[in-house]
Amino acid sequence: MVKISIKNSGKTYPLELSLDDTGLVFKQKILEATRIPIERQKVLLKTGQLKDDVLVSSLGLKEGQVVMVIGSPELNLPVAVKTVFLEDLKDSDVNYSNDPVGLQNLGNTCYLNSSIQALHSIPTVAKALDTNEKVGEIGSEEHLVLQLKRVFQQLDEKKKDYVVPRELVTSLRVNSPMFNERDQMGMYKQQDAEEAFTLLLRSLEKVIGDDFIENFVIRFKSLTKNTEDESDVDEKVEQDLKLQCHINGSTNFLKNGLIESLNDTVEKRSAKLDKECVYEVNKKITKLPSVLTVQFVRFFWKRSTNRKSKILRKVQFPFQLDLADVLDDGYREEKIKIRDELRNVEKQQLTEEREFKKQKKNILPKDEDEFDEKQYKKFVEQFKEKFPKELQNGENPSSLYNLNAVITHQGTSADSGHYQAFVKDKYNDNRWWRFNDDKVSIVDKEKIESLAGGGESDSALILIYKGFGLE
Amino acid sequence: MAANIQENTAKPPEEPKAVKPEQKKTEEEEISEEDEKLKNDLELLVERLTEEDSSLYSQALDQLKEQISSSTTSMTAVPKPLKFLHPHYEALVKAFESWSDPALKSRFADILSVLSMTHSDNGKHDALKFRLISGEESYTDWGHEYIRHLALEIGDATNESLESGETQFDEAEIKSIVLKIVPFFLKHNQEADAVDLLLETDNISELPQFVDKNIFRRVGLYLVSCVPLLPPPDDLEFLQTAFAIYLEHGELTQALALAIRIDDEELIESVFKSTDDLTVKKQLALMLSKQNSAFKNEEVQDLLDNRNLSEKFQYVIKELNLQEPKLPEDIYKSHLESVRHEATIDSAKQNLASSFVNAFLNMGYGTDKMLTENENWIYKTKGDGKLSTVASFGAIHQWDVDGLQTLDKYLYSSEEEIKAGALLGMGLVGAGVHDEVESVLLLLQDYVTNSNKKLAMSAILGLALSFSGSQNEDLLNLLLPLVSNLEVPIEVSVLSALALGHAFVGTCNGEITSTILQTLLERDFAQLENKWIKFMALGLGLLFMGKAEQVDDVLETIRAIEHPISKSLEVLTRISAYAGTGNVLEIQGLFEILTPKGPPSEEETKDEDADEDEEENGEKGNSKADNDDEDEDDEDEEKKVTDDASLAYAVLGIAVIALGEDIGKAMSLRHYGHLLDYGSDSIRRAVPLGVGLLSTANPQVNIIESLSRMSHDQDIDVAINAIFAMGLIGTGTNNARLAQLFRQLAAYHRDGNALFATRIAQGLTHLGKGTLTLNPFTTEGRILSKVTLASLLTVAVAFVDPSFILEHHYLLYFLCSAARPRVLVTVDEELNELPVTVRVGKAVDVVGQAGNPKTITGWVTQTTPVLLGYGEKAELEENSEYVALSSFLDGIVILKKNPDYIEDEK
Repeated sequence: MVKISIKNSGKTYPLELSLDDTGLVFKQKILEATRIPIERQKVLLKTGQLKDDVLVSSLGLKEGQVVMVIGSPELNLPVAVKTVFLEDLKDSDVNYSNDPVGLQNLGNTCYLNSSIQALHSIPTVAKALDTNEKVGEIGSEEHLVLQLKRVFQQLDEKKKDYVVPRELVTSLRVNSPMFNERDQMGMYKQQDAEEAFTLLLRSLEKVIGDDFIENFVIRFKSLTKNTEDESDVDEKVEQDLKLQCHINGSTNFLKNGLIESLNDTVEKRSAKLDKECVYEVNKKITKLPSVLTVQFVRFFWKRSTNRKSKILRKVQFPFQLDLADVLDDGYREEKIKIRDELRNVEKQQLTEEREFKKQKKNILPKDEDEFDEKQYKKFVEQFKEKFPKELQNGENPSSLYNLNAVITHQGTSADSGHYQAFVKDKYNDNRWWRFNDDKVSIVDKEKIESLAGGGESDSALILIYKGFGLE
Repeated sequence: MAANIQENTAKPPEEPKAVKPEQKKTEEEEISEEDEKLKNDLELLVERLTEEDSSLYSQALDQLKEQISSSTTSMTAVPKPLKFLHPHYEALVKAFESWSDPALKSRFADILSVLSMTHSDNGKHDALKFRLISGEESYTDWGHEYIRHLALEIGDATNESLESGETQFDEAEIKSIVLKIVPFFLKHNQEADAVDLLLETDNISELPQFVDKNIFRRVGLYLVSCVPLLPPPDDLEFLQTAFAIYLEHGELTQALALAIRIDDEELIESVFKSTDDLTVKKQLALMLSKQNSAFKNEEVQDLLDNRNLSEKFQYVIKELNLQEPKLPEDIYKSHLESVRHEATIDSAKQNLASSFVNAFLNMGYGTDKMLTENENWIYKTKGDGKLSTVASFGAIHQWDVDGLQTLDKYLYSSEEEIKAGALLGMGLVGAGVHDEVESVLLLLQDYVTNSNKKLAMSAILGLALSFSGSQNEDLLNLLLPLVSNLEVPIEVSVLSALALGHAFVGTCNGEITSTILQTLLERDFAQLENKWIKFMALGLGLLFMGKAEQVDDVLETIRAIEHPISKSLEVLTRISAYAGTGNVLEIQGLFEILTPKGPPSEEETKDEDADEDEEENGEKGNSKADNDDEDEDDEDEEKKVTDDASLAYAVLGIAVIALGEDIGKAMSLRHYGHLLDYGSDSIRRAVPLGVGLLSTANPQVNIIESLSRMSHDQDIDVAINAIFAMGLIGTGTNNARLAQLFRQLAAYHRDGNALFATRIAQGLTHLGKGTLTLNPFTTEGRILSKVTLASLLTVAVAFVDPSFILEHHYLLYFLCSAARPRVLVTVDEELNELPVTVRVGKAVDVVGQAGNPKTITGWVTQTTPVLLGYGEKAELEENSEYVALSSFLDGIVILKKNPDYIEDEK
């Protein structure tokens, strides 16, 4: 007789064996102790795994020895589950993600890519293009707009990692020879994104019509006063597609620049006094568009270098722009009233958001996205309720704007460097998409703040503000 | 080294010569009355000695000696008597030669030897010459300046005779002087001078007899710190001398550390034999067990076999409050990643990554949240992914033999991947841990010959993981026939060779060597193009790890073989043999391999050149050139492929050799920069891996930066390897900077493989939730662990071709088998945990510093168990209640009561 113990799953069981027992008897005893079926028992001994026909005496077991047994009474193997894997799907079935896609650079075409992405972020443009079916010869605006529509469609489909806007580039170059310039090496030159942006907008105006462009049009009451003759006053109505922000040695904020640009002085000949006089020009806005384009006038022609140089000065811009103080008096009151009402709604929106975030510690990114989208849709409706009934065509209901997209330029002159577009996520105010040609990545709000300039790195050139509360 | 110092200090005596006559005159004019008298006295004595009257010689010599030795002086000035006697030196030498009485001559020579210090620049070694002539014994009384000067001349003379081949002086006589000077040095805490002198005269083995208990630590420290700077075989001799000194003075753990470094079983044995104290033996065994040593000792076999590792690790994680399992998502923190994950469709690849990360995170914890609670996760992966996922149970239960039970049931699965995973996992459970019956071997051995290739491969891999460093004979008998068996699939053969390479790492086992070489010759060349074949070469290389002195023969043989992979074979064997030596010549040799050759002379040259040019173009412009020549002729292409591989191994080799020597490390990093700029594709791909190996588990900011740059490389393979390397340098550190970079990388690369690599790297950085390390140096960074390095090298070799390891991802488990806790656990003599307060700080280099300097800086006081970071060191508090049995507070350390402890009276 030999007394040993066996160890299984961290438990030990005492076992008594007779020396003339066979391995099978040994196993039988293990079965009784542990309920492990004999065929699944693995008894580990110095001489090897226990075989059924050996005698216990030949195993050299010592009194009190602990023998390890591997095996378990039940198997409980996991049941095969059929999983459909990403890798099993064909490329065409897979929409890798819902992220927006980029545009390929076709040789210094980042100026165009960034303009396209900025335009693409404006829902009114996409909507207008959708219904436009006009066709035209290559070189015509119709052709250009059609190509733009195609690119928009591909951007929305997101079938590939990036879209190749080749036809659009060709159409643009035929339409407007200035974009067809090449350098000595035969490479297409870098162009000014602002010019491309304006050209596209003008083409849209021509093809789609006035109703559409009203969304962009700013109207002013312009008052020109001769500083030397009080009676020499001229008042007229002007309009433009963008506000300019001139940058001089004391411009630190967008608002300063805008106000200065709206209150300019010009020198011209006064017919009445028959001499050169200084005139003060004061513009007051009488209509705010639903989409406000602001241009930083960063490029200027520098004679010494014979190129369009860039003012690197840092000019900060707000995420929310209130234009109340540059409005015409009567118009202003109207807008401020709506503004305050909208702000109340916004307050509520922010509270709900804060509560959602407080409620759980670990919110899954997916849930958060869902929440954002739900909130967005809900509040678009709520904002709408506050809008006045009698709005002009394409007018912003209030004096408030939210920043929606930024076209930036990196470098020191308009003909060189690199353009990128930054576009706010539709639902999440803190998430911004960076469109660097075919590379699209997410950046946070702080990054957008850093686009104010002050160096050769990316600095904002065009800001696109969307009327507050508008879809 | 010290010769320079000697030269400097020996200079003052020469100065008087340089003084211009005019100045001398003015000086003489200003001479004080006292000096004037001394000068006159000395001149009188000189006169006596140069006179013919020999009767006054004896008295004159006595007086002269008296004058010289009694003069005191400041550090900077020349002793007055020497200064005044300087002009008469030549005359005295002449007089000496005319003398005949040997007794007087001996005494005179004694004095002349001292005087000659002022004339030491004539290159005649007069001090030494007269010393040898003189029979006077008490010359050490002349003081330090003289003795150091003498040592300098001895060094110079020996070097000269080495260069010219002529012996100016009798070696035996010089030796007798050396043996007299050395004790003098040692007595005065000039251990560096003593060691240098012995080194110069090639007598280092004489050192131990002079070393006493006061200075042996300093001597040992200096000896060991010299080793990286010495050419073989001096380095070995130094280690042996230091070993002898430590052993003699009972500093057994130090001695053992050196014995392990020398890698001599007999020396290890002698350390064990030198004590009867079982507790001390236990401590020695604990130290040795970290190396997965094959050393056997009945009394402490359970410790040598790491059987207590799991228990102690469980204790650590309990004390550190780390028991709660972590999910991969806990470290991905993908909500911080600036990308939106639409988790609608499962990606098998990313799920597999999660399996690995889960295994890395919860390694050795015995529990996890992802797999144990939901075994169906296995089916969230596919193909070999299931294999690796099942095997990850093994990593979770690593070191705990009871974990075999968890994996057993999967052997009954009907799917081969799951069965294979169970086999591999069993190997992981027993990584470096051996019970009496060798359970892992018993369970796996029947599968190695299984006709199913996947099962056989997994079983062999499992054995490789479990038996690394064990030198197990049964394993040898089991696997060796598989290496040479031409009937089995090549992969089985290759992995058997690799497993044996790991098990017999650094043993130069002749049987395995010849079998591998034979097999390489016999196997079909067609089969040798198999991508696995490199591991057979690696298997051979590992056998010679750290055996630089024995590798020459086998290298010779390899060179003689005409074989497509003989180049790779040679490089791998070479780098393995010189691993961790910092051998500059070998590193240069590798650069030679990496440098594009000049105009080649053979027929194939033109073609190759063109290829290379095209490749360069391809690199820049991404042109079609690459594809074109692939189609052109396959044969040429293949040849290139194998050659390229050897280049990549050479890149890794630079890191492997430079390891453990800081200057070499820094230089290698610099060179890697150049290789990255100018190297071919395969070289560039290996560079990040090399950087990773150089700095494993040591995330220094500059290295993070450079790897981060590489991780955005145009070549996606370079990027993948750089990401993995970032994981390597961050292993088990929870480094926040790396964590942030990984989150950016997860968003940056659209490539699924790059994301996979990023996940793996994240997992590594949080290895064992930050308690484990892959640092190949153990024991306060003093001993190179061959098993760890072998595992790291295996994974690096696999990564040379990233697509290979991404397909055969289970090779990543070599990282698990190489991991070990980076903790200090203090235990009492019964090996029960015993928390004490220790100070943990950055280790400081105290070699050659005066007095008893602090060995750590910027310390914090903590209670054991404590985690030790890279380059950190723990010390018991002064006046601690306990003393440690080990000189190295690293790993498990036994404490015993301090007999001198005086309780604080508060």
